[in-house]
Amino acid sequence: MSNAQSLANQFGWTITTKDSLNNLNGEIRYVENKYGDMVDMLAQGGYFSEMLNQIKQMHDDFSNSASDLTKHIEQEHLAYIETQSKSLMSTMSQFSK
Amino acid sequence: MSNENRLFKIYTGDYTKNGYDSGISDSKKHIPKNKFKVLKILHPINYIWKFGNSFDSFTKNYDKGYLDGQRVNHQVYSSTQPKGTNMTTDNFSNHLRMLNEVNTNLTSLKRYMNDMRENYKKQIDVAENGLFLEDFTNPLKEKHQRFSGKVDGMISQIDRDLGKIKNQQEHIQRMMQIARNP
Repeated sequence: MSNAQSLANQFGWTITTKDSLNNLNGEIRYVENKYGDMVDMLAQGGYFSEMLNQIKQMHDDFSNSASDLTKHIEQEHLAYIETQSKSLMSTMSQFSK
Repeated sequence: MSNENRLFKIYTGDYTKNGYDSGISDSKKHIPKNKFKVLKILHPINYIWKFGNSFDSFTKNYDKGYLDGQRVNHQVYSSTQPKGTNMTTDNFSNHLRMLNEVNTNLTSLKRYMNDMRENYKKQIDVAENGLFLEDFTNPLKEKHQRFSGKVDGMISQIDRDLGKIKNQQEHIQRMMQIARNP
């Protein structure tokens, strides 16, 4: 495999991996929002106060964990892969000169 | 009740169901609260064995059943709402639908996170097998381990939430039954 081909494969890997991680973050945020919407609708729909309090607490805890996981993905994974991606792109542009 | 269930109840001292059903029944008949019927309901063995648990499980759930019965009788659905708000089975159905929707979303997310974790691991394996140098893949493997731990934590949390949502759904279904057969 030529150097250029290897670089292109590596660059492709970074794109695919970032896409999957971004999709996961999107999915977590989507479910977190739907969860919050449900809590609001239950509150407006006269849900049992004891059960509403429990579900509000569950949603708060879920939001905290969701936020922790999405930040971890952004800061630890996406940022790391992005650095590699930029470095590859810079090397590839030198090849094309 | 089967002998096995009766023996299990005596052994555990769990009179939750008796307490709840008695509370509902008294409330529906509009008779004043009478928690001392616990003394008639407890098996004599439970006066000695697990008395505290037997007494508490009956009386606490008697109160809960009594309150639920009153809510149905007076069509007051929530203590946070103004008096006079009507409770209908439509309300219950809407609440069940909302809980079902979140249940479905959480279950899908759990599956998605698990699949994603596996696929990400495969991606890293591909990277490790000749695509990238070790100085890139080794830190990524460590990051994946931490990621996997966080995913495990979140999956456990979702499982706990699903269990609590199921309990709430069962409670609403019981209330629907009471509302239909007052």
